[in-house]
Order: sequence, then structure tokens, then C-alpha cells
Amino acid sequence: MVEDDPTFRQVVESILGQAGYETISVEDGAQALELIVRESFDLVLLDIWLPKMNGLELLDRLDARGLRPKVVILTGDNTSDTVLETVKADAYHYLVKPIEGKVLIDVVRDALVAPSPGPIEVISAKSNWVELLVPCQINAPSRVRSFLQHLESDLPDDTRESVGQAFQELLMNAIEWGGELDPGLKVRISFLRTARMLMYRILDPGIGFRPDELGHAAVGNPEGEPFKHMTEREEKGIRPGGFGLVMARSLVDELIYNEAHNEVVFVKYLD
Amino acid sequence: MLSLNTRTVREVTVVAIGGRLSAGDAVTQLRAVLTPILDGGNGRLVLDLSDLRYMDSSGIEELIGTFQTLRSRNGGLRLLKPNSKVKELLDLTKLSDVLGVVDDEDAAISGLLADAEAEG
Repeated sequence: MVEDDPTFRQVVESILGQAGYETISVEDGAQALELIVRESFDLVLLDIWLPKMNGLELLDRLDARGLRPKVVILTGDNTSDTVLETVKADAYHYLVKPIEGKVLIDVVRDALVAPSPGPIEVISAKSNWVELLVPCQINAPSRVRSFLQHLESDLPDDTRESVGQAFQELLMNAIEWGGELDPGLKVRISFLRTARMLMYRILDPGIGFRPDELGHAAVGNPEGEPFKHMTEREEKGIRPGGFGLVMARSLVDELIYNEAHNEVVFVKYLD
Repeated sequence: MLSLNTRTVREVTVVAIGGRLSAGDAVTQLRAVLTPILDGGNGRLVLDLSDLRYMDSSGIEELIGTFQTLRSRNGGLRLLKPNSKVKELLDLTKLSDVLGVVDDEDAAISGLLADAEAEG
């Protein structure tokens, strides 16, 4: 852990220690660089605004040396510029202080067991227009969301939660069905924010689908039969599923697919 | 992180699911705990969701799979005390009534035992 606040450092060490994790802490970026060059770590918890060398500089220096440890950002700074800089620097996840112990343990555990993440390619990093190319990995939706949610931090909780859940469901569909969980393939994500709306666009690398072939998804179920589609999934040998699109449609204001159905746009109005 | 704790109350298995139930490891963990219960238990199950903080569609689908397995074996399921976010998802997907959402453990267990008795 790279953290200059001794009280916060102690709290995090205690939480992680009780959860069974061994932590080594340093208080500035320069010490961290020296240590990471010398030793191998499973995970780095990194504050951004540190004495001597800040977190962003540390990520640059590590990258220049070809070192790419898995990094979870743990900072009080949720400004869009900082968030987007850490996406560019290929951080794994973004947490903002204060952080609930259970959430911290969730993220640490998930980060440790997750396979090495493919890099997220940043095409646009304007706070009101972000475009990313994301590898088709199962942990990508929660990973990407950990960054993008901070671009909506001024919005009411229920709006952010609805948008976040819809985004994760649709991205998971894109990654699983369009990208077939192939980390060599990428999904293109666009996030646009105007004064009156949030818009997400998700383009997957697949050939799309035909709506009349969606008997295996809950979205085609008749009224009063909320899991009729499960029978078709069972017959086709598909794992239980198919509720993501139903949930996403219910959580946002508008949702449309392109003709091929490999690209989806959804909108949440803000007024 | 998912937490799972199993106990038995009046011959009904109660599994408390805490944390985040989402696609990937969490769903696999839940399935590993539920499979032997479904295969070897008496078919009466309460899933205590009071400490479940987040669930996605994969989590919902796991609950449906459990419900269907129990139903095919003349068993029964109750979902106990989901928080407002989880309840909202169950409502959005029109599953609250089908899956049996309740707020009281005693009532859940009594209901399952009464169903079992009625079925003979």
C-alpha cells in the first residue's frame, strides 16, 4: 500500500490483515518505486496525491521500466481528470475514500483472483466524452464501471445506480455473446454526458443477433411467464440466463440496438 | 466477496448469502454450496438475502435455477428479507411473487413446512 496518511494506512492494514492478507506499506511514490523494482507484489493499493512522487508519476515510471503490477487506486480524489489519467495508466480499479471495509475486501479479493487484465485502450478521455476499447474478459464490466461512475459523482445515487447496473448488464452481454469471452477481442464503449442526459454506446465484435431468435432471453417472455425462456435455454444447453436486457430496459429511459444488433445505445435523462 | 453460511431450523435449510452475487466466481461459489443441499436435503430451502448488497442478472438466474430444481422435486423456496435494491431487481424482472419473497424467517419456515404437509 502506498499511502501518506498514517491513520488511513493503519485502518486499511487492519481491515486487510483481519481478512487474511499480508500488507507492506510505504508512504510516498519514491519508496514504492524502489520497493516494486526490487520485489514482486500481487497487488498495489495506490493513493494519488503523495509526497516526493505522486501516484500518476509512479505509474509512469513503472511503465517506463516495463513493470505493470495490478494497481487499485485508493484516493480521495474523484475528479474526472485524475480518474481518466488512471485509466490511461492502465490501473485495474478505482476506489474513493472513505471506503467501507467490506467493499475494500471485495475489490482486493476480486483483483487478486482475476486473470491478468488486458489493457484498456483510451480513444477519448474528455470528461463529457469518453471512448474506450475494452478486452472481452468477465471482470471488465465492474472494472470499467469503477472508473466511469466517478464521471457521474454529482448525480443522485439512484440515477447512478440505475445507469451503472444497466451498463454492466449490457457490457456483460456484449463481452459474453458478442466477444465470446475472448480477451483478444474488444468491445468499444462510448460515454457521453450533456447537461440533460447520459448516453452510453456499446459496440461488440460479434455479428449481432436477430430479435426473433431471442427465445432464450427473458425479454421475449409473455406476460405472466417470467421464466418461459429458461425452457429454451435448457433445451439448447445454454447456462441459465437472459435477464440482463430486461433489467437494463427497466433501468434507463431509452435503449435501442442497431440493425445488426451488435451495437446498443442507452440514454438516461437528467431532468 | 460473497459470504455463505448454512444452518438448519426446524428441518429447513437456511442459507445466508452476503456480499455481492454477480457473474463469475460468486455464482460458482453459491452453486457449489447449493448443489449438495438440493441433491441431499428435504427440498425446503430459505435463502436469507438480508446481507446481500448487490446482485446482477446472473445472480437472479441462479436463484431461478434453484427454484426450478426445487419445484421439480416437489420442494419449496423462500427468499428472506432482500434489501431495497435487490427487491427492486426482483420486481423489475417480475420475479418477486414467483420466487416467494418474505420478511420473516419464522413465517418462511412455517410456510414451507405447511406446504410440505399439505403435499403429504
